[in-house]
Amino acid sequence: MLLEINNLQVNYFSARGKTPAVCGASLAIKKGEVLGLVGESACGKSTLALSIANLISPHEGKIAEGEIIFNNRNLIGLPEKELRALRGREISYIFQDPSSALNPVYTIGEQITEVLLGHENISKESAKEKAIQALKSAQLADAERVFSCYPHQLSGGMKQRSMIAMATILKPKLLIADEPTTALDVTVQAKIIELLIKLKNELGLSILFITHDLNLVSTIASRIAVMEKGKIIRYETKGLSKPAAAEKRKTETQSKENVLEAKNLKKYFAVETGFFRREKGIVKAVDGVDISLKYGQTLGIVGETGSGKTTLAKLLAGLYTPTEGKIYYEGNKKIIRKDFQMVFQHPFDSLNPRMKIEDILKEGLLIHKIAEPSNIKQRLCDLLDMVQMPKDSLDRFPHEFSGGQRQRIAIARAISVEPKVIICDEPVSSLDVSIQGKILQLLLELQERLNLSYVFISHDILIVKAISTTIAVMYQGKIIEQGEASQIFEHPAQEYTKELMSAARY
Amino acid sequence: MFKNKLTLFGAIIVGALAIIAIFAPFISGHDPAAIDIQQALLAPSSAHLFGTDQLGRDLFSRIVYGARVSLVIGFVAVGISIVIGLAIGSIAGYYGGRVDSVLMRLVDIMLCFPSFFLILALVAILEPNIIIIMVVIGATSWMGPARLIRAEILSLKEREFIQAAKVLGASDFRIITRHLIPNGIGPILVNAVLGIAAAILIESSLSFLGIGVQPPSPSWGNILMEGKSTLGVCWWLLLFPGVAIFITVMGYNLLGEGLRQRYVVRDK
Amino acid sequence: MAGMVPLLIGITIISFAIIHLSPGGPVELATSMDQRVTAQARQKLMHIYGLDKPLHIQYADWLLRLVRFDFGNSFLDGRKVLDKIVERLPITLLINILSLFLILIIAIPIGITSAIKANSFYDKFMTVFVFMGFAMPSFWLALLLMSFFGIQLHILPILGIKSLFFDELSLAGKILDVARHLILPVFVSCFVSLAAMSRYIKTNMMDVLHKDYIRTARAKGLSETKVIYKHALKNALLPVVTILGLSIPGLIGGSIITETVFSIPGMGRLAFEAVMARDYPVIMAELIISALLTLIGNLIADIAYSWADPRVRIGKRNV
Repeated sequence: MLLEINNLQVNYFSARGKTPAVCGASLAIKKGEVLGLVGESACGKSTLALSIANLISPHEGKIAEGEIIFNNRNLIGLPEKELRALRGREISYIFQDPSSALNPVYTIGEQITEVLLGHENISKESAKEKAIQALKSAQLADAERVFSCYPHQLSGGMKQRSMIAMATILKPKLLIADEPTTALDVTVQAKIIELLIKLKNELGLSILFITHDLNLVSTIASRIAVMEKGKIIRYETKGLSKPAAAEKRKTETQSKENVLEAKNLKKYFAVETGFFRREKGIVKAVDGVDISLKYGQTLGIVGETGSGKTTLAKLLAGLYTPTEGKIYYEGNKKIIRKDFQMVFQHPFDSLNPRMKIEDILKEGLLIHKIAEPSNIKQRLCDLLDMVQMPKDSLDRFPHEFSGGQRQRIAIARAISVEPKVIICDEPVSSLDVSIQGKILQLLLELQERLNLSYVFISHDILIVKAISTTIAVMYQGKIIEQGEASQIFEHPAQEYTKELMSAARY
Repeated sequence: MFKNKLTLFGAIIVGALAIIAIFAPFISGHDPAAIDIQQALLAPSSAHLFGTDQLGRDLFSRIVYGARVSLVIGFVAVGISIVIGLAIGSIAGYYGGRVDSVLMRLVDIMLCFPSFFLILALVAILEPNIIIIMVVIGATSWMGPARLIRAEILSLKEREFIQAAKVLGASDFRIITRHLIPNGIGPILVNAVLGIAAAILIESSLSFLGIGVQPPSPSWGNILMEGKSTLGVCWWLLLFPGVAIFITVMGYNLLGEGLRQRYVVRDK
Repeated sequence: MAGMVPLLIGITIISFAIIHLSPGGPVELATSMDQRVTAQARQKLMHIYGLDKPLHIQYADWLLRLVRFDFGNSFLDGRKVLDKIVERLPITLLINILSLFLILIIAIPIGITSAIKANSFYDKFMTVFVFMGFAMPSFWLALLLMSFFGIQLHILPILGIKSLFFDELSLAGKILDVARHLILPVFVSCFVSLAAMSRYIKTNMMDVLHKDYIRTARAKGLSETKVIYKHALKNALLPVVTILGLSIPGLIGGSIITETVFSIPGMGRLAFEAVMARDYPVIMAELIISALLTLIGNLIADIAYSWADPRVRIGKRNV
């Protein structure tokens, strides 16, 4: 047993006194094993990870109880000097966001050689050679150049590889990876996982792999610990499948009218500088898109960050005016506001933090004069019912609800004005995996019940497939492939689509 | 309501000052304008808590009435600066584009001038009286609030709940009044409180130099100016007015800082 | 850079407007003190100064002279404004540069140690000290110090920059004499800004200490000293370069009150005297020069920052 954590208790200091973050958690990792650690946000997994090498700042929190036995030594109570000898050399970390985890004012090379020089008595030249070697092992092609680069000059994937090189250069026994791929693009994620597996095999590393994504971690971990409210509650050995549990209506592919259609849609943004606003460059966010949505169906749009999908969503919702091209709303050029609504990505941002739920839901009704003042209250209760939220939600504020609950409220707001189309921009991407399925289920039920049509945008092709009738794949402002959902999924035509598929299937 | 000790202290000072200013006639005990050469330059005693000045006027009363002057000038000047700043900043932030560029250039130009000197010059040219002082300070301090509200609006504009309101069909007016302003008001409040402290410092500096509130109206600054000639001898003329300024400014600063903690931490 | 042109124009327009704000114009005010000046004489004066020409012509004339550094002659004593300014410049520069230097070497350590020891007794004490600095009216501090050191203890001079017997002193004596005279003014000049600066540094340092890369540095097993002085410090002090640039205008115009209280013959005192006497050419000149210096100072601050921060210097994505 390489690492054994017994009954760990960690408290954070806050304005209200002590808040327990980890309450009696226990786990064990063998030599050469990869243990996954999953849980919802704020369940304590990062705190658990940081406390292993005691990286919790004494201002912020304290390890109150328990044992952390690493290589038969209890790390708790070990003097700082000895802990420092362990850090970087026997126990290493890689973190979620390589942009903020690397010091912006020093080069990659300086930051890597510093680890070597700090633990071993070697010359600077020797350290440089070893560092470049480590960068090569991390599959960085141009290792010499990366060595002299500053972090901001590299892409996300390259930065993460540099961090991995830095963390493994002294051949540690345990690597703690806290959400190492969450901030990266889907296609890059898979490659980083490959790299970690390769290093594990080469160095006999044990890895503690922390993530909120159960599917991701099953590709690398043999066992998965599930954490909830500060405790490890169980172990899994197989990943859950994605919300395929959501039932879809049978697609009726007979010709139906288009409720929404876009022809040669373009949206360019000018980068302006100077007093006279001279154009310096043009960003072609959406560059000639043709799509259509039939009544009662769901058009799924899948693409990575920067593909232009959010701009497309805003164009369709009428928040942007197109630079070129036309959008037809039920055949008309002009949008009828209440018929085309939108659900946004961030449940923590799409509700006005200073408004009560009652006022948030009332707003649409008031603007479009949909309900009589006498039966507004009833209307609101009905809306909350439809999204499975309790009636007493009306009197509360957004911050009192969880992400999933807020998203339900946002959906209630969207349907309050009895729309025909709802444009959903990554509505479940910010939610935990366990909640995603429920929200998708809700959307499907509402679609059936209220005769809605959806445009559903996401970077996650599995989610898109679970809910869409037709799929369009977006890349750099253009739709590179579109068609029936099952068709695209089973027989992707374009290279890029295939890449998205394989990254998703893990 | 999370208030640490310092903030509470500040709030107490601010509150006490308000009471002193409002109830000045009841607190002072003497007529601040009553001249009595026989009683000139007396050290503090039970009859005159803070002593008397060169003209025999009771220093305590003058200081109590001085509070009125300082607070009024502070509040009105800041009020003016916020009204101008809110107007300019929100137009610039909401409409963006050329309007924004032009307005921000104006802000930049105004910021190039050395503020104290500018105020000094303007007040001197336009004849120093309380109204001019308030207007000049207000008209030269609007740039801070303008930038603040513009920044708030710019960052709020892109927030999803604003987009949601647009999609729902809300009018510009509704968005600004029901969504943007209530969410952006925090920093402005902080700026206002700190601005009052700054305005009081400026006014007392002007009065000290002789270009502020003119004697015989009592202002802490001009009391110091008059007392300057007794330097080293009549310590009470030097100590009390200065302490008054010091405590007042400190109180507002502490309160402002406390408000800032509350608003910055909250909106994460 | 090109953005500076409209700023320059704006500055000149506003300065010009200020002078012509007063009822009756500059001549009216310059001569209203003097009863003997008849209405006729006033007309003549206005003609001499070109004040009877239309406003935009006056502006153009004035602008042309400005470009040649011709600020006109003082209303007070008829001397060239430029001469008066050049005369006073060295003293103000001396005081302010000394002051800036002291501020930096005191505030930086205070700010950094306060950040490292956040919430300790030391930090709380420093916070109180900082707030006192913000609340202290500089003229009051000056008076207090003058009273105590100058009059009670009689160990420091309180007015001017040299003693009466200055000319009889040796070179060393002269330097010492000036130094003694400068102690109080420099101290007062420092004190108030010290609070602001150490606060700023502390805030910066605290921000940096909470960043992810500091956690990474610790995770690598580096000693706490290395973490703070190598990783945190460089990031926290980056903005200080900007501050140096932004202090440039203050070097000239920031000390009106200090110089007036201590009777120091510098730019600030000149400004005060000019305002009291309604000496417009001097007021104008001081305004314009300060504004120009602010512009230049900002420019230098930007350039210095771009040079210091590799993210700006090297630019994005050479990948």
